[in-house]
Amino acid sequence: MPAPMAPASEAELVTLIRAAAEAKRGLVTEGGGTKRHLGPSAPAGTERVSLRALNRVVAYEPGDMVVCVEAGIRLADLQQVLAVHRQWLPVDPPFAASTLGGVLATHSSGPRRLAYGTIKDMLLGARVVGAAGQASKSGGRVVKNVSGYDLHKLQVGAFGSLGVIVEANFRVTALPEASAILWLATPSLAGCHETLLDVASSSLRPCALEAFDLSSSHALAEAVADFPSGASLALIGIEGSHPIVARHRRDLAVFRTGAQASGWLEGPAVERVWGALRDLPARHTSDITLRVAARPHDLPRLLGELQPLRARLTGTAVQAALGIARISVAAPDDVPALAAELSKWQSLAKASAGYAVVESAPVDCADRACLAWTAPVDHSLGARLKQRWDPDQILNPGKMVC
Amino acid sequence: MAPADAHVPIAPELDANERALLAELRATFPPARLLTLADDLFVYECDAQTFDRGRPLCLVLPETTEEVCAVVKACASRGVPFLPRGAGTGLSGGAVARGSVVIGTARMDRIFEVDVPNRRAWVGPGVVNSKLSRAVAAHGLHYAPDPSSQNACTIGGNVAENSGGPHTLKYGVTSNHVLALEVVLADGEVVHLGGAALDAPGYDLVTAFVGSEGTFGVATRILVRLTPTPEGVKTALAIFDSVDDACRGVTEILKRGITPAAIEMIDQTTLRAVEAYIHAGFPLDAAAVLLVEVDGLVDDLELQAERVLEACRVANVRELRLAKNDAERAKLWKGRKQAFGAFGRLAPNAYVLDGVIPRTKLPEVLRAIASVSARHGLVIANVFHAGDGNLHPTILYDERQPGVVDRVRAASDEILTLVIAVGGALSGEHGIGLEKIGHMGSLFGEIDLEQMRRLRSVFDPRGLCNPGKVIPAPGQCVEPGRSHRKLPLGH
Repeated sequence: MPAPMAPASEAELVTLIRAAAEAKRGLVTEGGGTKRHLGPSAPAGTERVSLRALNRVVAYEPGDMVVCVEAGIRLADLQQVLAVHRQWLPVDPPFAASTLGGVLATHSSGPRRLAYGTIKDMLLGARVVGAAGQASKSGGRVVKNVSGYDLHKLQVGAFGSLGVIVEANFRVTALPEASAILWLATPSLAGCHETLLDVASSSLRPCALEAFDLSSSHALAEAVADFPSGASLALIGIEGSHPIVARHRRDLAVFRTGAQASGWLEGPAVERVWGALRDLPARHTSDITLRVAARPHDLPRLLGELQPLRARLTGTAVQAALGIARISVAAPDDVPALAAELSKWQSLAKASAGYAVVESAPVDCADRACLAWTAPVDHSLGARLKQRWDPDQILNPGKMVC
Repeated sequence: MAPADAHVPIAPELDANERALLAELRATFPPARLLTLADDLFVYECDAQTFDRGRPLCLVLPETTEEVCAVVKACASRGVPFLPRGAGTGLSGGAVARGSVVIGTARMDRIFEVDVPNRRAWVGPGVVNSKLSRAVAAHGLHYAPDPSSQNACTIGGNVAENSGGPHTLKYGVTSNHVLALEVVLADGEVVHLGGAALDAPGYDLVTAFVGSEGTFGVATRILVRLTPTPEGVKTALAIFDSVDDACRGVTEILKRGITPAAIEMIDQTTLRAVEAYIHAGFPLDAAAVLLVEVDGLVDDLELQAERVLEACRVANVRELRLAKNDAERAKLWKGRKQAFGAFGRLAPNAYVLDGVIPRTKLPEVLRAIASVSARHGLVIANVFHAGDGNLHPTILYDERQPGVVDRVRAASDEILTLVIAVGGALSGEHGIGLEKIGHMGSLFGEIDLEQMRRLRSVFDPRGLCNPGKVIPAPGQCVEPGRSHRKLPLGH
């Protein structure tokens, strides 16, 4: 793969987008390059643009708890800058080498989203270069703002198809003073899922409620010595003050009685678990991963109806209180047959007011185009938006199905 | 078409097209749900910000999505503009409807479904904010955004304005609480945005719609998140001898890693007005107080309160009083939320401004506002969401005084200029509406505004839905008759 173009300033990015627009040539943007397997493929003949050279912290005022960064900065690097002031951007998306631009474009999130929300909730404003090479801004650097339309939020999860984010402003948070994780091992994923929904319905305030099937638990056990192999795992994350952690240790004890094994992790072990969860999706870049979502209490039944293709299953991760599951299967030789199976899933999910879509597939999979990357909607607003903002399909063409 | 109804009069000054539209609406709506007379329409000429006014063509009160569609289609076919209106508590002239059809949502006030396990509710746009919270209270839930007008304002209006409130410091604004929408677009098409499941594929049009101030269409059903009511709450009143110290108290609290549910500042002018009316026990000699609330699991409330005290001590607090019980707590909040009503004791008119600044700039900007007040000889009270840096300077005046309105406008323009100069925003929760459209050009460039127009045109290509609001037309960045003098910061 030839090296991508790597503009070192907004002006250079503008120049190259203008050139592409003039030549009616598509561009595909990237940051850390960790999520190429997400979403449909761009058509042949597009050129790659890396935002990695735009990686500065533009402004950071710890007293305001607001930071402005260029899109190409790695999340891990930003967290180091913030940690000096005992602050962090409270997101924990997958892939260690992710850039902020990439996390925004794919709306990536991780387990602690339950407590903090997603990057969209923290995004205060942005500078974006549009398909004609015009740079524009929306929002600002204050924590509350209704001045004009929130165009920056429309960029989140848009896979760069509406503009290239150059700079983004975020609200940041103080680092928690204490954290802990309770793990429970049970024979079935469904059992873990139900337990976590019970915790979600209690008065407790965990920061993460994640369930993993046998294969995913096996992978986690390789990274975290405390975890047993050969069972499904439920993880309950706690963050906050010491009295908050103590309260959860006391009240969650009751949930341990039903488990075949369980344990509390604190200190560096907690960080190891978050790291293992962050790295888990990287094991599935050669698989096809589906995202199935419904109302949290409807998801167990829906997952039961889907009867995952057991022979091909390589991992299932469920965010119980959010109602989101990711199911990975080994990519078959006959992808169209799998795609046909998945269309049945789509209608089952729809009947539960949810959806089932393909989130990622191997980059080199020949039949990516036949996969269901989106769920049908009753309007054409998305298509009209793309048409209005990027009529010549310059920015990440094909990456967003409307 | 149904026979013309003699009880629905049509004003003679209307043009043929408007008269034909009204005749068409009469076929669907009985007289009680279609107001056309000047006297009846008088209260719909403005919202709670009374500078900007305009006579609507009529008011219709649909009860269903189908009826909203019928009105919108009738308007679209005749090219007549229209806009949705909730309780009219908006503060930026967003609901002013010169010559437009006003679609009042008052009768679309049903709570369709409360889903307790999943903590969601489907509601009509006309449901009153606090009514929803009361309806789900027995389940230990509430609807978190709590604007001061929550006993009157509607969820539909909150969606239009992306409303906030004191507790948004911890719980977020309206857009953090809306999951899905049924919307009637400007051509009458009914669309469904978002969904009951999170992270629906496709562009996030729900977040785009929330805060669009009625310019993208009419929301007819809204799926909101419900928030568990906190297990415990502690409310403290921190009393300061100087406004600077109170401001420092805010940054000291946030620095300590606590996120209170709310940090509200109330200055002396406001304290005096409120105390005379509510008798909440506010100290009349204090320069300013902070109303600080911490909530959550009971286990660390004590610790959080201690940290608030420690932070306030560093900022030279005179005294920190903890509300001893729910009654005391309710009284403090009543004082805060009814502050705007209490201003009526000080002056017949109050003009509430809305701007957001970086929190570390609070002392500097409040000093500058005091100097604007002195220069124009106007009383300006400050009662606002200090934890968010969301200012609400309120200019108190008597409109019967000759020339005072010009001074009020000039002072308000100067304050907005100050806010922008420190890197702030034009509005934190009241919206741009008509009121601030002339200032948009001072915050955004023409390319930024053009991009916003391009989004609006996706939802409403003909510009029929609440025209003339939020985004100025090209080349129309400064409203005539308004000063835009650049001001130095500080004294």
